[in-house]
Amino acid sequence: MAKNLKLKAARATKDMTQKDLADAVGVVRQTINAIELGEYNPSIRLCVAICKTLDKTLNDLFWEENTQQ
Amino acid sequence: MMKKEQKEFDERQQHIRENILKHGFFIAIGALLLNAFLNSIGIIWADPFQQNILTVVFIITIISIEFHFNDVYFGKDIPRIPMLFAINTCAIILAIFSIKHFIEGATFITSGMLTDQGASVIYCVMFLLNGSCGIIRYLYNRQIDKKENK
Repeated sequence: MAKNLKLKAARATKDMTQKDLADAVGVVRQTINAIELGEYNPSIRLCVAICKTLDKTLNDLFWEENTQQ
Repeated sequence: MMKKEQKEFDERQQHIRENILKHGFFIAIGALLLNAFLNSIGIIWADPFQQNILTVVFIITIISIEFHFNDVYFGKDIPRIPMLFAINTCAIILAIFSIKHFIEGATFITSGMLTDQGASVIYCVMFLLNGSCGIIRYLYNRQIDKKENK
């Protein structure tokens, strides 16, 4: 799985650490780290919670562009 | 109990714990079969009571080390420092008693069988492993948190 750089960027825009975001959505910091590194696929529930916290949509943070033409 | 686990551990942690417990189950079966096999071929390595307890403690230690390694041993609501203090205190007390028995000349193995003192040494090692892994994970997490907060 590819890294989720959009999530990292959105988090940085809000000036939140991984721990801040983790506390806001009710997970531990390592889970946010795993999502950003592409090591873990979060559930829809968690994705929605993250999007609401960062004021973004699911497409903004979790849509993967198809790079193959 | 399931709802309590859901509160304590997030979805990723629950998933990791499930996987660890799954293969912990197979490790437990393997350990019990090995013990039964050794007994069946005449290798009585300890008193039957100690055999059972040691096998269980061994399995719990393996699973605990994996939990620590994946940082899913402690839930969100469980205070780490008191728990680590308790585990390591038990280990140190067992170590003190083991050293005391050793100085007094107690034997740990007699006629190829573990004595009670020998078993307590093994318990001590298991507790120490568990406690040490917990401390290492705690210190590692602190280091990562410091880097994150810079």
